[in-house]
Amino acid sequence: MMKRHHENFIRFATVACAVAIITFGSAYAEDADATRGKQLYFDHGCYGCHGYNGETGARDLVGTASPLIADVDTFLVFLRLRADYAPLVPSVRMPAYPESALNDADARDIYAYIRTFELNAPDVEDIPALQVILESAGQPLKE
Amino acid sequence: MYPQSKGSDIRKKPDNGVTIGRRGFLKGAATGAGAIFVNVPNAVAGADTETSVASTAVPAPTAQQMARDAGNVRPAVVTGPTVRKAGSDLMVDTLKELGIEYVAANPGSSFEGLQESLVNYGDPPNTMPEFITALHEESSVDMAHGYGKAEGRPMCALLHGTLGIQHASMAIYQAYYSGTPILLLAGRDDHFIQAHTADDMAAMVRSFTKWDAQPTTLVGCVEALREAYNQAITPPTGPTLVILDTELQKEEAAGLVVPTYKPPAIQTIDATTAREIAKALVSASNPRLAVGRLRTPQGVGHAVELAELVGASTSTYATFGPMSFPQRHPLCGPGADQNYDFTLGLEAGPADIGLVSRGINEQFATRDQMQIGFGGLRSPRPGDADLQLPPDPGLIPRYAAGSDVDRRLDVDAEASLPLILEEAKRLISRGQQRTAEERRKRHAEANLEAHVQAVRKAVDDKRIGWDASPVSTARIYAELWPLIKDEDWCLASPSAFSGGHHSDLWDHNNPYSYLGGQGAAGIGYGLGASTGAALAAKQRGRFVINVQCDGDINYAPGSLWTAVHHRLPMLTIMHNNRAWHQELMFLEFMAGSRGRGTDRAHIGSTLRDPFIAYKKMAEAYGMASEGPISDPSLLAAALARGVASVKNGEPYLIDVITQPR
Repeated sequence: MMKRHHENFIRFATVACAVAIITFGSAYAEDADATRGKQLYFDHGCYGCHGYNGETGARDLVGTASPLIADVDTFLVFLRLRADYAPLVPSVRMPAYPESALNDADARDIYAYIRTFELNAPDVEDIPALQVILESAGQPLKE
Repeated sequence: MYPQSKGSDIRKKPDNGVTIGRRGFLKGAATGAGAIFVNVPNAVAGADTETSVASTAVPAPTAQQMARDAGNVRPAVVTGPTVRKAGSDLMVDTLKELGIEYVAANPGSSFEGLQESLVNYGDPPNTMPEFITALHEESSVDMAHGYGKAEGRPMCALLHGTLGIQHASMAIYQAYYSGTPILLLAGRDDHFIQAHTADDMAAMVRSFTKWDAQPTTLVGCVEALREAYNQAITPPTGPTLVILDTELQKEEAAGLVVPTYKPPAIQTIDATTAREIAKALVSASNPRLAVGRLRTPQGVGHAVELAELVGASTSTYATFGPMSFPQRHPLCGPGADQNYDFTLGLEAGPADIGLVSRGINEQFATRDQMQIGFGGLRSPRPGDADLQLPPDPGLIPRYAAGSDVDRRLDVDAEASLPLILEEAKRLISRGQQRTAEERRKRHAEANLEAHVQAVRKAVDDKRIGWDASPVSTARIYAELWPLIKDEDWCLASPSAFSGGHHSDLWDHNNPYSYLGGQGAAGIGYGLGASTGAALAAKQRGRFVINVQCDGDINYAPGSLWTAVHHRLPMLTIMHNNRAWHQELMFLEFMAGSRGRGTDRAHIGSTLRDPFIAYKKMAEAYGMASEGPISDPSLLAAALARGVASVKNGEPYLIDVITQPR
């Protein structure tokens, strides 16, 4: 049972990567509605794993070089080719999104929204708390 | 069925004039109740309207009442037909002899005798142990769980009959999985409400308690309490339960004294093995200690002493749970050379020789008389080895340690350490001492460098989403550090659901720095355990931090009141992601796998419509609080106010709206 899951995942990953390589760089649909996508992002619980800003959580969406979100076509393939088996154990992996559950138009709107995310990461030098943490790290244990 | 304490039966019948008979008691109670009902205050009658509450509020306690609550006033000396010394006084004497600091309970008629003794008997009364007012039995046991992890020894939770045990069962279950010593007491009254009593009350939790007894004599009670304490602290450590019959609590105990306490003999390695291990350590060119969760702070001290003596680099469990090697000790880390030629495991691996206590699961077969077969405790089944256990060591039972040890010795590491130390001190030559000293310096430099590198990488990760709203969980932990780094702090709440960022950012140098996971990975534990850790902290000048998951707090929020009532040093920061987010993610994957979409996965897994107002919740329990905060720029100041409040003796809650994880 477990082996089959792994095989499915590897098969999916291979296809997704291939599609990503082929389509990498193409632009997403310009008629997509990021505002509508924001609501869909929330309604479909995307924030659950990706955070409300795409920066935090189990899977960040910005600051990564993931080819799976490089363009909307790859993104759509990624959604459709997700594993479609019942999980043997609880999983926090990316769910499957067949068109019956999330049509292309909605998916494109979501994609438009997630592409509005910006990496919001000040320099460590500009964050006093992190500076204190770095200072602490460099100090030996107090007796 | 259960271990019976042996001893002479000095129990007297209820109608012999020494103890108060049940019928007589009920008659008196009925008369008293009648009088109470006649004098119903107007405040109760008018409680349906808001204004009436204000205008007819029950007066505040008088100074005399407050002094009495605080144990500053001795109860009146009564002459008349009563016992000279109650059986429950003797039970309190026993708890004092065991050094029990606290007994947590919400009241129950089956232990009214013991409760009366706790609050009135002794000089001063209500001290060692002090009665801690809880609002739920699960909270009482969770408090004892947090205290036990922080101190490495038991406090008591007192339960009322069948009801209290069942209320407490979930918390007992978690303590059993985490191997935490707790002394559970339960009152039993066969002559009152029948649904509150049972022939064998401990049977309800026997599968997940280490030991229990239902003594039938007062002497038996003393023996059972002592044995229960010793069983709880003897590896495999865990919760134990003594059932205390209500008639025994009321029986005459004059003339009975509690013998001097004797600690248990804990199994160690023999002298030959101690010599063998010591020789291997002192003669190794690059020795190492793999240190897991020991039992007490004394054990941690011995591990440090051994590492320093032989110049061994060490690993630690301190970022995952309590009682391990100080994370920032100069010897803690990979060391200057990772080609270790001899590794001694102390409740951990990988190691050449590992001293690893037998897991509490090894006695499960004899305790699980109903053959429930709890997972992780039952005998392994085909396929168990393939299970994908959660990656967080804090969620993995303690007994899972030692699977990567070449030669495992089923003995307690902590009890064995003094023997190894003694031999190592005897064997080590001056030349080896010089070599060890040189190694210590090299390790210290290398470990410091490795730590700085790791923290540099960590802060680079944690800055992502720094200014995001809602607040990132990493920012909560990061902003806390400057405020607590010079405090004697204890992070008592499990951190897996809030990102576990402290393990990357904070220094865990005390046996109680981080108390680890829930035990059985069940929620509803964090607030109670933090309250118990704060009980331990109160007398020791510590500061407890509780990063509180919102799903978790709603199981038993009453510990907020307990923290306020007892002025406990606890700062609670809500990780308010308005959901049971782990389950939300699970459900989304499940819905996706069935092609049904994830837009309804929030049903049953989120806490919205309405959002829960935790500031108001805290206010309702009398706790100073603020929030909700979703603007991250407001966080640091709020945390500073919280720290100041706790240092001033007032627990504090900050409601922070957070990113999901």
